[in-house]
Amino acid sequence: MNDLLNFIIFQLLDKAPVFLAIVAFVGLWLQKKTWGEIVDGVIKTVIGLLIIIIGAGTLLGSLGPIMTVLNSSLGVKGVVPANEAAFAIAMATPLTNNITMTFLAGFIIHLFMVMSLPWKIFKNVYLTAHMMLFLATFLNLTLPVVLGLGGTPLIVVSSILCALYWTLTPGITRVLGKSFLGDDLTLGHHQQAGAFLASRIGLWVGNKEQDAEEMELPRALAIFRDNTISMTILMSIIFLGIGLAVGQPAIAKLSMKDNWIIWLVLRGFQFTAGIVVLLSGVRMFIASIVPAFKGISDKLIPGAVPALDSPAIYPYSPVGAMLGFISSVVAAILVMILLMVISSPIIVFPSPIIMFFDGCAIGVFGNKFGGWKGAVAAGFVSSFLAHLGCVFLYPLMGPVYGSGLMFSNIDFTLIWLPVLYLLKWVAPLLGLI
Amino acid sequence: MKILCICGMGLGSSLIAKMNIDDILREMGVRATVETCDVGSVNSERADIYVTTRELAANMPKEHLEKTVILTNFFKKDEIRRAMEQVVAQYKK
Repeated sequence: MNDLLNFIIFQLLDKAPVFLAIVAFVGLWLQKKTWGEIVDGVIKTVIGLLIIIIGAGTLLGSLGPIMTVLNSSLGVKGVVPANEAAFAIAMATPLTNNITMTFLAGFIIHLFMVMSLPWKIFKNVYLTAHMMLFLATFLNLTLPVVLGLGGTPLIVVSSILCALYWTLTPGITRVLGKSFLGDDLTLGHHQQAGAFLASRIGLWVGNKEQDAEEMELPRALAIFRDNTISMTILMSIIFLGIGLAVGQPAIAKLSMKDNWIIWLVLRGFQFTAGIVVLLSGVRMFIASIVPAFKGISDKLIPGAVPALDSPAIYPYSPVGAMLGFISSVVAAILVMILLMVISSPIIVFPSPIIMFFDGCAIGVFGNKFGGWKGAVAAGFVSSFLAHLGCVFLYPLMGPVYGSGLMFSNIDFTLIWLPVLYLLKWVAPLLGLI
Repeated sequence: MKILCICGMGLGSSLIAKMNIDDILREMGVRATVETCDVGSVNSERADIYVTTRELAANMPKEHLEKTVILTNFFKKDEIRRAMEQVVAQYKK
């Protein structure tokens, strides 16, 4: 009997691919899928996970050596905040099952909270599975560092914190967005507190009559909507910048016979290739989960509004979104220079996620509350704070600290940074550390 | 018939679109596979119909424009239903 139990726990449930296959199977079976669809979904979920881990390897292969050289020659730690990359690194550690459990338990607690809260503004269901996985991962990395938690208590605390965030914050954007989103959707993209900040900045500096939508922006900017292209350009520039900072001799040791400049640019391409690979894994991984979540929530909480990812709101103010993106880029570069000037031990490089996904969403809210000036100012402040916050959050990243990657969204700085530092402060008082 | 939903990353809104289109086509009694894709990979994906939002319309490859349906957003079921009825009628011709 003990042998059987050991086999189930250590050979089946402890092996992440097997555990996920079981989760996917139950999810698809509950949706009353045909056997063909169940086999398809289960296999693709597992392949998705394995692809994510392969992508993580490629990312580390391109970023790792350069970050090591940066650290050894200049004594600074460099970090590129990019959610999916940090997630992939974490999924390649033994934390995989913890993350999945937190994600599932968190969603169930979230549904329960939404059902029991009487206020209409909280009747929202978080449906951005990738963002939910990122938050579950973030808490499973940071809580052991700040609270010394592990095992089941870690999963319990992480999933309750996730559920609270998923339940309460979409209420903010539901209220803020009522005038232009209607009551059809709300935001669920780790930017809800950021959207509140954007609305206040908009009201303060701008005038919503000066609508950004009356402006014309160069069409060439549309190219940056393509993640693959903007990521390649950005990462090649970052690698080149680091290369120039540490100098040719240090890079030549890595590039061997290749020309060092060309080698650096190609690292940018390799990094993006890793991102493209792992995103295809994430797509396979969540394709059977999201419909299951939606099916369950439609049954349990009819009429709940979906909390969606931020591109869902860009069409409500495309020019505002673009302005937010542009001023986010400026702020990101400024933070990087500032950190170098004050010789900070951690240098935060411009984050593709903060600049694009946050920048655009914040730009929409900035414009709706303060016109084009609001969009520009909100994008700038939000990106500035989000990048700066990474300096304080990066050391809390546990096994991901030192990889050169971390999570990236404005709400990590606005909400989770104060929460984690508060927990870190109370942990000794509770006798946890 | 294969329908491809396109968004920036092929993760979030396109998946919501896929679920809504799946529901609507089932109600209409039309058999189709609906898949998601990011705007960067759309060139390498073959489909009979491409669905995207106003936002990304400028990024769609020119040769697919005739077969591209442009929606205001991916979760207004009425709008999607109207677009799908038109598309399916045209496809059958």
